[in-house]
Amino acid sequence: MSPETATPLLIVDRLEKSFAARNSNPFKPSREKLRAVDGISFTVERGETFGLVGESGCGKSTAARAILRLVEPTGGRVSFDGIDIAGLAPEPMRKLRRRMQMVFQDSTGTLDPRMSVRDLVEEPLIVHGLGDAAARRAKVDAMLELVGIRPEFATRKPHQFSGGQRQRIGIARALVLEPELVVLDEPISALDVSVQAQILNLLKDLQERLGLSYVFIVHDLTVAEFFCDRLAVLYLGQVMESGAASELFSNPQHPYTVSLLSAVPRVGTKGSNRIILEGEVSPLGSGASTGCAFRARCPVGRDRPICASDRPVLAPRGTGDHTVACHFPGELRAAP
Amino acid sequence: MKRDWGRTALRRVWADKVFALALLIAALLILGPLLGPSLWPLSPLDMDFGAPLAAPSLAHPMGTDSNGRDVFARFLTGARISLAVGAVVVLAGLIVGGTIGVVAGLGGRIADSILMRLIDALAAFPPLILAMAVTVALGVGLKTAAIGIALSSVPFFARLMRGDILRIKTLPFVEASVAMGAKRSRIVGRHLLPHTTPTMLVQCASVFGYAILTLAGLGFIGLGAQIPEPEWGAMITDGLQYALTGQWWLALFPGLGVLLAVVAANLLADRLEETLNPRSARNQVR
Repeated sequence: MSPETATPLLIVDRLEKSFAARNSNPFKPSREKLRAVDGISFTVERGETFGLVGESGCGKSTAARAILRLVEPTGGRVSFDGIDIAGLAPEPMRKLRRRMQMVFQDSTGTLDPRMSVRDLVEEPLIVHGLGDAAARRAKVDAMLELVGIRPEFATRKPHQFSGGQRQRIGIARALVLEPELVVLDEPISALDVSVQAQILNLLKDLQERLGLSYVFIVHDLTVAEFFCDRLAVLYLGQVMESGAASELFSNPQHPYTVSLLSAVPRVGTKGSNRIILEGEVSPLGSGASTGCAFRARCPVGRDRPICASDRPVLAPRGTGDHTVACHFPGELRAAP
Repeated sequence: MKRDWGRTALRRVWADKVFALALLIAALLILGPLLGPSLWPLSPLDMDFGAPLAAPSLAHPMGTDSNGRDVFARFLTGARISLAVGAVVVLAGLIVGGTIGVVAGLGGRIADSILMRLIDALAAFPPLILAMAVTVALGVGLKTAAIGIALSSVPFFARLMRGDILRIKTLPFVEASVAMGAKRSRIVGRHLLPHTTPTMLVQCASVFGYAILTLAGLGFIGLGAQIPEPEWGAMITDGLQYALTGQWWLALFPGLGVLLAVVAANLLADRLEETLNPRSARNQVR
């Protein structure tokens, strides 16, 4: 192994992003903070796909944006290829963005409606001063071809394409810079199922061809299992469990992961053994600052004193780099 | 390809009769004053003492005024003044007000507060009063009237631009440009400003009308163009005193000029906005 590949491409270390919580009384400003991302740590190796899984409102998208500094993190460290991103001045940060791109969930809103597809895909090259006009044009055509948009349609505007085609344009826009890291923020959740599969296959194919590393934000567990090498399961901005996808799916330890997996429909099993979680994700008032973030809805630790007093730390469990943040890992098992 | 485009444009203009009419009026109002004085034999200041207050005839299509000056010649020169002042006011207001709006919208809370309070102070004066005060302070005349009107139009542009920028900068494609690594100047120039064109076009048209009307108003109270100068507002003032005694042509034609210029500007801006909007119904393939 050469020294260049020895360090992970991306190291996220106790990343935090909190927002001032709104208060209904303007004369009594709230000191309470909404911790959207609450100390997430993980690493992404070169060429692998790391998944961030969780339900709506668990801080997945905020984490993605904080990693790319589209929102300023309020704590923690992100290091990309050994470069500390949080401390970077605007201009070096802007230049670094060539190597780390993002594919957005909302392909309709993130493509400027007044620009043609060719201009949209060419823009990243212009912005980073890559190649002359002829070289850029050739590159744009090649990229469009690669994602399956016929170059003769390149003069059209985004709204003249279907949702799946727009997402392909978004992917072409991110990949035309030949980045090393691509953050995929739910790239397929706005698409219908048949198109989802096409886009996923396209992403996998491009990863193999271009040697990309992905951070994949997803709420669909089936997709996560198919697509990710390693995963972190998030709840209220904290990592509940992380590890290799195959390990996590075959041997889940955290009650939250177990409950989520029990909700995934499987061919050949009856759907009656779902574990139903009561309540909903409610960041404020659940006492997230002390104890386990999940305890209010946890079938195992709801009434146990240690779950209310101590926040569990991520500890190794099972095989590989499988870690769990739970006082009673493995206690909840899905009914066979 | 090029030819197709021209033909399509022509067909679309022809299909939209209101637009065609507005285009025709605008062309007449622009070409007339540009070419008219060189084609029309009479000068706007030449007096024909033989025919004061003559009714419209072949020799004088819009009649003559009390000093026997040809109203048509004065109308053409007046159009030049009015349209030029309108254009200057729109440009100055757009550049000054628009810049203030962009800086306020992007510059953070302190810059925003300072700039917008300044604009509030400016907007606290009724526009006509502000234009009057500036004109009087700088010395009565056409140029100072134009400066006063331009200044009074700055708050309109600044507020509208700020609001638009605040709205557009939260749209997802702006975040996408940041993620792409675009420079701030590029984001403003290529992604924010183009999206303000619809509102700004409409605003330009209405300020254009406002400028012509206000200039006429200032001329009417004697603060704009001075009497022998053939400005539409001053002509209306001069003509009004004869309206009761039956010489209607003196005030009617310059008034009609103001009306047509304002209507044409608004219609053009309206259609231009629709044409530039990629999603407007008019742009769908039929």
